[in-house]
Amino acid sequence: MIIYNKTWLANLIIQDQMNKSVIAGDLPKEEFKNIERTYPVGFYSPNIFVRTGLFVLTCIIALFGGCLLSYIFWDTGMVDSGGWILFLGLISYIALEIVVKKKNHFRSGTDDALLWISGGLFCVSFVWMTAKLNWFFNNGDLHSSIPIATFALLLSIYLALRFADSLMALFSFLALLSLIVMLAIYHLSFGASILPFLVMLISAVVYYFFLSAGSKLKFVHYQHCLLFLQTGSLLTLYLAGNYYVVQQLGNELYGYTSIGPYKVPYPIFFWPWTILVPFIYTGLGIYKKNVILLRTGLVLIAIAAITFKNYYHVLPIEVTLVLIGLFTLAGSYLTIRYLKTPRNGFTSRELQQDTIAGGINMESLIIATTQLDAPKGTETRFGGGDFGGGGSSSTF
Amino acid sequence: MNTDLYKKLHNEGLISDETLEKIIAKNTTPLFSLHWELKTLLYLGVTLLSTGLGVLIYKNIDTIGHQFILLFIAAICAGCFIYCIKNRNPFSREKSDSPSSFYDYILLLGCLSLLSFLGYLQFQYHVFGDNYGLATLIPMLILFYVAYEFDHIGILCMGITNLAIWLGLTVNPYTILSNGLGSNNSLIIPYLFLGLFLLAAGYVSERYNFKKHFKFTYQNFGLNISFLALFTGYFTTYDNALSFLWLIGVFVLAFILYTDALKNKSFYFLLLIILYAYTAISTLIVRVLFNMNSEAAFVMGLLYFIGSAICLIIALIQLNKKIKES
Repeated sequence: MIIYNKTWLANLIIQDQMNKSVIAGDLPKEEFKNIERTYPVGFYSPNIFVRTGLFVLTCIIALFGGCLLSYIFWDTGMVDSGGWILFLGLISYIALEIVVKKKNHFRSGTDDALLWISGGLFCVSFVWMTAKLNWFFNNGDLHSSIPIATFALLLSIYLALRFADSLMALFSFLALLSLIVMLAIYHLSFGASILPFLVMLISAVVYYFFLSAGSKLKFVHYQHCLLFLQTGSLLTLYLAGNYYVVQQLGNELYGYTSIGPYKVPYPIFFWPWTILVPFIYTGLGIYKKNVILLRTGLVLIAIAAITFKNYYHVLPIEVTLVLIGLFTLAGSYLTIRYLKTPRNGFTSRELQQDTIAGGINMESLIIATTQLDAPKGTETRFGGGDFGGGGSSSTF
Repeated sequence: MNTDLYKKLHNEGLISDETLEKIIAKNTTPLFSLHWELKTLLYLGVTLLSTGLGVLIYKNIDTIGHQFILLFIAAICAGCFIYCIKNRNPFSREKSDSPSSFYDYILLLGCLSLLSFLGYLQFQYHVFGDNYGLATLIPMLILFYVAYEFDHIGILCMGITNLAIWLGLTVNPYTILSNGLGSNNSLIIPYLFLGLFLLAAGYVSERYNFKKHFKFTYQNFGLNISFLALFTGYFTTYDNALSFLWLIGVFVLAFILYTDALKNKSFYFLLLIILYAYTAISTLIVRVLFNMNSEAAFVMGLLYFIGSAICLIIALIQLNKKIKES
């Protein structure tokens, strides 16, 4: 099923593992070179910058190539149909297979671009041919999108399995979720009322399945996909029970009924879910030393806080900010001090430098992009309009 | 993590006994690093705290005494700087490793509150009068001094942004794009000079081995600002016959930076330069084709984009190989 050379994939895992040891300073460079020679990897997978460049350029080629072909065949009248889109999709898919098979591209940017272009074209042609250009699905009736979701699901599962693409795997999970949700709404009389629980159930099953799949040899080539799927299912598991999400989606489904605006039923269940689940994730993440659980939990704590803030205004926003800021600073300071010498297998030191190829420190890039507004922001706060960024206005 | 793989490689004679022992010893007590999480939390804490303080002061400006607020910010700022001075490593022309990540973010907090302090001082007491140039020059000088003295790249970025504010513009590319520099011709030249100045600063820090690792930041700002200024210059004078001079500027700059990036093996800059130069060539060719205004020109345009993109892909792949081998 998988298109790539399996020996190379296995060798890649070995090399990645050994590379970590080299960075951590456990494995001498010469020994690594020997391992590299004994377990060669023939893939063409360049660094992230070349990958970005190749992605952009492949999109340009596909776009203008499609235009050129359409232009040439314009007079024949074939262009104005779903079949033409299918044809273009097939061309890009064949190009993808050739690039991967003959040129051994593996996460090189070119294959990423072709994968998504061909997938997108297939979906568009499917919609075109089944819905016969009726883009608006009978005035907002989502019913006709069930076959589309089914098609997208099958297609993305195929592509994810064949090309071991992590984003595609995540996409197929989302397609599965939306398909089941739509089926429940349209084919179950009580479907809409159990939606949150249905999504939770599916996410939990999916998470459990892919968590246990991580240790199985069968899935060894899909490690990246598994990580994405775990993160995705953890997120949907939480969001399905998040108070704000439930209320908004309930509003979408029911709107204003005769008894007034939509109210979330069982707040006794949904509020604790909203607040507690992120902490459970974080706690479990630390307990099990699972990075995905931990990081997802930390992000979700912030979302839980915002959700809570949205409904209950205990403190004015600025006091909340100051308090949370102080609390986070103090907490991380104490943790860093506590973990200065590793305890219980935890450390606050970094085990590997977070540099990417090309000799760039990731942190400096992040600070460079996010701190841009900081000084301007702090000054305009006092401006009240007329001081405006300390003379940055054009009148100055 | 299991050590089976290492044992297997050891049996094949690829890993020495010494290395295997070291790895097995390390794996009996595997470590789980919270480094990334703690750093993010620190960053979040500093940002939230400084934002919250700013809003707090702004909202209560009439009720609390001004002196009290000023004192309060000054206390935070002084506290941060005292902590940093106590814990700092001695100044060095090379990269001096920061004592801890906590230190980095406390320094950031100190600088943010210093900016608040100076801004407040100016707003309430007009310390610098109507001389806004001076009001932005002083924070800028302080920021640059702190960045060099304490070796902090984040503060260097803030300093560069303030330099741009001082010049009467803002560096944020999004605001440039949304405002459209086109309506504001007079800013192109200072903008271009700022970009070239930053590039020169990057060159100097490498050439004279003074905080060499700052070069990336200088070059990143300088490169984007210069190219954007040159392109804006071209598009604002589009109808003028001499407008191609701006694009010549793009090519000259691209060539100089290209040799430099190749020397330093920086894929990031190479990609940026190639894409900017490609855009410049493409705008020229599209312009010529537009002037021809025929069906053949349309087809030629399509062929140009397909062909040029293929050539660039090949070039990128070759370049990647070349740098890797050297």
